[in-house]
Amino acid sequence: MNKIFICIPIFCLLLIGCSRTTIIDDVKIIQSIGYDIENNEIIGTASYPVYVESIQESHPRKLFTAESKTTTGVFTSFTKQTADEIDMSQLGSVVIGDAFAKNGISDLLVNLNSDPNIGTNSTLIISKKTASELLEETMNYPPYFLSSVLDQSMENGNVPLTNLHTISNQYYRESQDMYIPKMEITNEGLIVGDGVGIFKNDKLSVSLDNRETFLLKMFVDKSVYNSTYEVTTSDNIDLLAKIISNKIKSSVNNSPGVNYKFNLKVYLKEKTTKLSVSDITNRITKEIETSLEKDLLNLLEKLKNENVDPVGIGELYRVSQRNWEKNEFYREIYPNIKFNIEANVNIVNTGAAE
Amino acid sequence: MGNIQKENYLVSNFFVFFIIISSQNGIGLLGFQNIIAKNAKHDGWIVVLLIGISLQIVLWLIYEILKGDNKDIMTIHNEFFGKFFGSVASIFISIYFLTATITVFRTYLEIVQVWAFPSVSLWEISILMLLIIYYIVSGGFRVVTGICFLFAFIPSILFFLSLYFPLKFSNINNILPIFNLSFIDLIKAFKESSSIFFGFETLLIYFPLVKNAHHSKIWANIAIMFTTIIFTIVALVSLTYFSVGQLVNSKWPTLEMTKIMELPFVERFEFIFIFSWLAIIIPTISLHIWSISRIYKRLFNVKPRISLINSLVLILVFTLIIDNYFKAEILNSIVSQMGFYFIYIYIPLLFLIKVIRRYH
Repeated sequence: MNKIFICIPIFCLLLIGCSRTTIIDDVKIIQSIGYDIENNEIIGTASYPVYVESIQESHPRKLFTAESKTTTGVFTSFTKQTADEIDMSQLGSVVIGDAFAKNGISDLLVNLNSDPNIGTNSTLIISKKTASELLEETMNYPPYFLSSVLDQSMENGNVPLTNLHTISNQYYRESQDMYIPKMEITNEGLIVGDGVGIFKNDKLSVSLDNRETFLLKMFVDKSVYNSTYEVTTSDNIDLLAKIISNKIKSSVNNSPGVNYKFNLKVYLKEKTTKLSVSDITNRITKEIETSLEKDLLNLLEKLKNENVDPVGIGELYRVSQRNWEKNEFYREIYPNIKFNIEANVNIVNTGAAE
Repeated sequence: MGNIQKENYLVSNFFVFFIIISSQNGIGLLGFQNIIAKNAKHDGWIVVLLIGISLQIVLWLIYEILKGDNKDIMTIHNEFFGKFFGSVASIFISIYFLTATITVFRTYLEIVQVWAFPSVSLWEISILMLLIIYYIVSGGFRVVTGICFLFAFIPSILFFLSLYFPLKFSNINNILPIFNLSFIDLIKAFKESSSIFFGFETLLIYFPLVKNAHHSKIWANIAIMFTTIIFTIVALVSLTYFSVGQLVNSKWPTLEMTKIMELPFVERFEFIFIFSWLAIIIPTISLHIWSISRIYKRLFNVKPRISLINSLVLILVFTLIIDNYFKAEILNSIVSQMGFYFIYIYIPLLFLIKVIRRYH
């Protein structure tokens, strides 16, 4: 009796081994998908990494392209264009064309979330040109270039941390609007990050440039490390402050008003030799502080006037008010909020040179 | 009217700790955040904590009901309701256990289908799993206990490994302001989500098989406390990691949460999670099915093997009948309702009858 019980599972296991083989070389792993919209048709493009040189020669590297009415429908056409099985589980980035983003991305987000194969740390990118153009360009680069560039610039640069998780978190959250980083191709053919796009509900409504993107990162990211901020002092010296740490305290009141207090530790770079120690400790610190305060305030005012809330001012109010209500807040309270920003800068170091 | 068991069929009383932990951690732990978020929004973790505390009281009631020499629920039923109605009541309990088992089994298969093998047919994995369960349950209560003991800490280990990663994206503000829900919402959330803890009521059946059973109370209390703490931590991490809207829109938030993990040697941790979960549902199912065959053995002297095979066949049949997600959802809500009334209405009722009988 016992022998049977041992044998049956073993045979079952062996039998399972016989079917459903997937050999990694025979799978087209999608690294990025792009979505554009043209005459109410969704145009999907997908790029896949090619690692082996010989395949490259025998097989022209082309994007999969397809038209469909639905975001997942594009895959039906993709399968017609390849000899191998298509696999989504290594998806690195989803590129959204500008027009597609303006048309609303809620369907896409819901689909990405409901697909168990797509990791929540894949990134979303808005392309200034069409998504297919951007993906076409990435075919000249090593595999997973697009997502690595973005990951790197979120880690060490001025782009706020975003991925599928944070974006859908903000999408479903009532008290914050979502933001997605933008990328574009320069005239020289380089792929560079270029600000962020801010969504009202599910439609792209405001774009921020690189400088404003950094300021947004100051508000929303837990750790701002290696981000840089350029200041021109009153006597026309251009300085660069590299941020080491950032601590934010915020409070709200019912007048209505929001207070932010930033405690920054920075390294001062660039032309520091021209400045004396007393200059740095007194005047320069003060000037960086006022300039930063002014910039941060301008950003908040701009966002307020556009009636978008990527910073999460609504969240601050929701936390402190028990009967917070979305529509009422954004219609009546948000446009009248007075912001007060205080920045404390501590210049920790100016580098190795005396 | 005791049923004295031979010493070599008994288990030591500290095993109650492992049995309760394993019988509880069914499938609920993968998706309960969805239910608590629907009803209690960001205060869901308070509800989980309250359920855990309330179960300590229920546990006390169970031990009070079972007081006396080696009683189980069948003798209690016969004492209270007479032989015929007592047997009917016991049969209802076995039906409850069976439906609970079917739900756990079916939900697990659904997860395997959705996440790992979309094309696999239900009967293939069902038969494979039922064979394992048959093997375990036919070994008797001591083997079932052994399996419970072996797999008791699997969920804790899995959560220990995986709850660290979401913390990078979690925000404590999500659960503020604390206690922002009305009393009616609280009761509703309580009722809907209490089913995640259920399964420990099998104690009513295996109680006489525990050595010095009345001294096992402390272990049962610790077990409930342990699972309460784990569930509350999982609820807290999920509520800070997800926004409430996101939780309402996702079916298995625990698995969603592991999707953020990226390790150099394993890209997608959720597959490890799903397949380790088999080790968590097998003890639950085994214990329930063992309890069913125990009930029929005590009532009608049916050989355990026969009722075991019957219940396994029933599970297989119902698994195949429930061929889509909506039917599974309906079954899920029926079982959680049944469980709620069984735990919070029927057990206090039995206790009341016992108290009344004592003073007559």
